[in-house]
Amino acid sequence: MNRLPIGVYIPGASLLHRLDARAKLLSLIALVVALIYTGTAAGYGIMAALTAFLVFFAGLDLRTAFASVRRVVPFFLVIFLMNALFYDGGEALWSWWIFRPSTAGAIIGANVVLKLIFLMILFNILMSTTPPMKVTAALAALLQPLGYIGIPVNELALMISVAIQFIPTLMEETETIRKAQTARGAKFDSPRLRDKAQSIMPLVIPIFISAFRRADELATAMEARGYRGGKRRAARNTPLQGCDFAAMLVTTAICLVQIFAL
Amino acid sequence: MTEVKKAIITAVCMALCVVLPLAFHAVPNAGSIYLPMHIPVLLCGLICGWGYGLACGIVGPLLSSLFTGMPPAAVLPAMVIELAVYGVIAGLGMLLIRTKKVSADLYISLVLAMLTGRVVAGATRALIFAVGETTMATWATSYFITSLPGIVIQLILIPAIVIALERARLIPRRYPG
Amino acid sequence: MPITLERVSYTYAAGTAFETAALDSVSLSIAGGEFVGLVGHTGCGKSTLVQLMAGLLRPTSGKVLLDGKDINLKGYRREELREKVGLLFQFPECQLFETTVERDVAFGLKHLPLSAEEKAERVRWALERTGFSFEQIRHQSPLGLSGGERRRIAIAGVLATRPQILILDEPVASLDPMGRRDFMELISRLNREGTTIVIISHNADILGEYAHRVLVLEQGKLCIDAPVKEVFQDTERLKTYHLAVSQPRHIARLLQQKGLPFPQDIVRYGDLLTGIKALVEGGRER
Repeated sequence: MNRLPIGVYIPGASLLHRLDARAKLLSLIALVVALIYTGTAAGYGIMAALTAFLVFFAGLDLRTAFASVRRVVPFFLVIFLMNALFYDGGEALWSWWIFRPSTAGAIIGANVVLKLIFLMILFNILMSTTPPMKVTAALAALLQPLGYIGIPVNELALMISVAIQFIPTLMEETETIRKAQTARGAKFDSPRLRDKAQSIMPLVIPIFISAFRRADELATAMEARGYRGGKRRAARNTPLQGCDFAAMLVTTAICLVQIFAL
Repeated sequence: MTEVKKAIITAVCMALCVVLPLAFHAVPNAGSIYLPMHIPVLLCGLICGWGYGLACGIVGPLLSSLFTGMPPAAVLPAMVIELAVYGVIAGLGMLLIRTKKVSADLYISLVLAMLTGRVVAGATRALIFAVGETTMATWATSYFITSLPGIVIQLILIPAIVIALERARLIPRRYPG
Repeated sequence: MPITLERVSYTYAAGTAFETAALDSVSLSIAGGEFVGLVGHTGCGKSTLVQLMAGLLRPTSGKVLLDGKDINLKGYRREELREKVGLLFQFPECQLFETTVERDVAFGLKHLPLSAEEKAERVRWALERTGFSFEQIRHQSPLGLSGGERRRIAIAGVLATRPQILILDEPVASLDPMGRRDFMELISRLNREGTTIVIISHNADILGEYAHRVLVLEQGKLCIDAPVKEVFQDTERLKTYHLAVSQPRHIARLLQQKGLPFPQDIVRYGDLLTGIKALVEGGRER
């Protein structure tokens, strides 16, 4: 698991880095909706041009932008084959047992995979230009209306930000526990299912104990500082700038074009 | 437990929704077999109550998808609903069932949550996410047969974790004395 | 049982944008019964080095030989490695999980070819070694004990496998002075009984007091490998690695600078005291 770099954020000062996180989140949502409605060559052309433009403006190199895509290639292959081989509509090229490959299925498969690739790259652009904390804050700000129907938005935002802060620590601790138990003779690498099942207890129980111990310490510290919950004021947000509105306008326009014009 | 403590425990369980699947990742197919993300959500519901369980069930998979790309966006909505049901029912179970024995309360709530969650997940798949593709057979296969080792592990592991946490005095005893 | 590293390199996240070299062509050999201290700045590769020795990581290139056998070859029996090399992390109490102390200490013995009586005997021995009364503690839950007790239980869990090489990663960092002394006395006794000790520590006093030999790592390279007395003589060189000498060595040096005749090789409190006594008596005679 040390191969998975957590928090793909790459500090920088590009135009995309400077955009407000809320604007970026809303723009991403608009682009995802656009992507759902994309179906023609012209539509994909627009999305490709836009994505290339964003990668360039984020100051990312293509290797980084594609790094996450490369990791899930097998998954894409499965999705493609599932559609190509098992699609019910369309004319089958040939048929054997449960397999009935069709051109229509292959086209649907290719569409799904293409959309997923765009989705991953766009998502990565957001995450690599925005610190996770700002993404959470933006999420809390966008969730604010839910407060009116009785959902404790501030508590939720607090929990999410604490959770995000805990992720790297808990990952390290998990890794240490895994190594410590391996050194004591637990067999995580064994191909035998029985060994694996048996090694789960010594891994998972210590993970929960140390995670809860940390939770206990943090909660005690917060209570000692007088935090009671419920009265936390909303994080003050800076007003959106012109370029934030421009970004949202452009993405919404693309979304509308994909839905109605193409 | 105070609300602050419940909130922080929930936060930690959300974080574990990201971390545990990674820990299990060395095992091929571990995701669909061992269901590692179910464990913190069920525990959160059992320990903190249905509201926190609900929050963990919704936010946990979202965070995991955000940070690791697993679960992929395509299965995320169905998974969020399934996990949210686990969290809520586990919490309600512990609220309503009091047999004077911790392990009995835990097992009944767990089984209830695991059944309801799977029924709801199957229903949402059939009605919303994969209309026409879902049959009773595929539902039973993917939710009970493929994940049978995971179900067994959860039934053994989750009560063991709750009891370990009680012993370590990290959560209050349900029936003191 | 000697352990040898031959030009061992280790790279994290090899082949990705996050590639970082943690160890760069490290060669060293540790003979049976040695007491070796391993020091260096945070991130210098100490932890990586000991994890390679314990077979928890595979070198990107180079070989790790235990008793002349390459532990990363396909046919090597991992059980043999686990039996012979014990590793204790900084917060070993995190690894406890069983329902009783006895079962937890016995966890590491599960895969060893021992009879039930031998296993029970080893558990008793390890718990008594770490200062417990076996009968009193065996049925308790390890999770409900105090922090210090949990740590000793975890140590017992590693000792029970009777490793011939015991590797300790910052074992005393969070202990109070008393706990630190007790712990180091235990380790020192195991060493006198023949166990090889490899210890990572920032604490120069502990190295001065117990280690025979010190390895200094800097940015993944082994830059000093010498007896502790020799290493602690070159204060200036250690400073370039942001490392300090032990307190007794430091005091002896200050006294030397005042013109008092002290031997060069004082690194322990005992030696310092002997030196001072000799001085005082010499003064009296004069």
